[in-house]
Amino acid sequence: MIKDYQQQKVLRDSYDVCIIGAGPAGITLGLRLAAAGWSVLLAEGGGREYSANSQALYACASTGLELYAKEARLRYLGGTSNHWAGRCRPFSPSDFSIPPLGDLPGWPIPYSEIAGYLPAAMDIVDLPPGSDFQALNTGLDGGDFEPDRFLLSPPTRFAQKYATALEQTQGLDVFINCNCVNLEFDQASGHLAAVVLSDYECNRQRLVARNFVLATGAIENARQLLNSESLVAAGVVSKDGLVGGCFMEHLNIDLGTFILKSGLAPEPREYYTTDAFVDEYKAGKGNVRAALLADVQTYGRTAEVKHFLESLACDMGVASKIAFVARFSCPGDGVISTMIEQFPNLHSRVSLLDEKDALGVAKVNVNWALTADDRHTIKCIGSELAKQWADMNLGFVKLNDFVYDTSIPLKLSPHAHHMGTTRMASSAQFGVVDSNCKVFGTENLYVAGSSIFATGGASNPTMPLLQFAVRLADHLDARMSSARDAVA
Amino acid sequence: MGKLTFCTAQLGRRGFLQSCVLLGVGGAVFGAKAAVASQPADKSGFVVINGWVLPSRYFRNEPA
Repeated sequence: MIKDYQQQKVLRDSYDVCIIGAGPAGITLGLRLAAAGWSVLLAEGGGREYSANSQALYACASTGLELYAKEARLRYLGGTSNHWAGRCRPFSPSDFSIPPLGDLPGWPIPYSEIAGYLPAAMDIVDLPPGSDFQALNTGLDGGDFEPDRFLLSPPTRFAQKYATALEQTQGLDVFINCNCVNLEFDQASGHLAAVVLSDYECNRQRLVARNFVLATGAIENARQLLNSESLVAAGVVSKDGLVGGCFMEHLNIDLGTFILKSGLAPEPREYYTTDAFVDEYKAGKGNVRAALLADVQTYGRTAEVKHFLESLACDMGVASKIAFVARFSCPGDGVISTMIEQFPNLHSRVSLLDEKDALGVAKVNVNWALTADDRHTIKCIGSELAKQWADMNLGFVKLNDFVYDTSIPLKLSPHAHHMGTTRMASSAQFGVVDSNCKVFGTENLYVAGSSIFATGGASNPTMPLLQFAVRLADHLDARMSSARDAVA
Repeated sequence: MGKLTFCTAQLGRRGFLQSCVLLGVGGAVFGAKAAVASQPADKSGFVVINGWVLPSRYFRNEPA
């Protein structure tokens, strides 16, 4: 059932699992664990609808690149799925087998660990079972860019789609307006003993459970861990350590413009870097989308572009031709946008501030920062795409200067894909959670969502994070069943 | 994949001309020997002028 914690504070004495955050990951975990017979509390800080009161608790400072943190996330039932666009592209084996550039390792598990959960994740987001991920176009010659393959979810709004299940699943207690304001860690046992819940009037209550899962998004998951004085005192969390580090986004770069050869189909083209590209250029992955301007689609090519093509082909003399191209400032036929991988780096991080929010939880600062390796990826993708575009006689590409000149400040916008702040690793030296999503140094504290991503690739994170959520539900079910059987 | 050489406005006029000479596409124009212009080092290369990534064949002293 769904209850409003502002009015009803009748919690059970203890739960098998307490999940903080009712977005896609939290709802998926809650429903599956309750269906398996466990008692589950799903605590959502927001209400049934958007409210300024709840959303204000997402306010954070920013000292790095602008990521629009408050606007990118939604703090109410269903979480950020409430404005999800629905694009789904699964991770590929190379996301797990090729380590990222920089000082940190990649995933500690092979792709096969999550591949089996793809059908379940596809079903959760309403993709037809067994359907192939579709390409809009063919790839580019040269082996560097294949067609991007993806499917579009309706998109699934988790609060609406799973409303009945959240109300009726036995064993599942969903509380809205129920904010987690502290994690109480017992150093002697290594267990998280309780979480502290609060309504909007700061009425607080301890909640005991056997296992806890943080599923509040990449900024808030790190914030919850950093805010816990008992976790810090025990050395599980260190303020300048890996918790909150490696904040990653997908890079939406305005690569530039393009001219499309006359007679070619006007539909958008989407490409994706191949593993050969990653290997050859020692760069990250990326999606590139080339789409005609609406005016060009409607009215056809501009006279300026026609003049450009005529001038380029004519025998006007090299100097005159160079001078002409150097002055040419037409926007072309269309624009090229991207979704490019960011490598993990510890300078890009979520940090705790002294200032507290209305519920007494410390606020955070996000310093979203790129490295030279990320600029290298952007430059390689732009340059190679432009060359292969011309090589295939598709037309010509004009790159923005910041794409190929890394001394010029980058212009980019975020994709609202927050990842990496509680990254998965083989040991606490390189990450926050182990291969089962359990926080290193604890016995019963888990993390769900894209904050566990060791690398982000260039796949939209929602469907992959659901694969991990289903896997975590299976792990917790098996672990609790094993413990129960041992007692019996 | 062909070599990509950048001739950007940001390089300034002098750098721009130097880049063109290096490409072998502007030799005749800027006073180099005819042999330099007619035998570019990278036949499949590209130049970047004002951001446009263009095959260098368009900028040789021979029919494009």
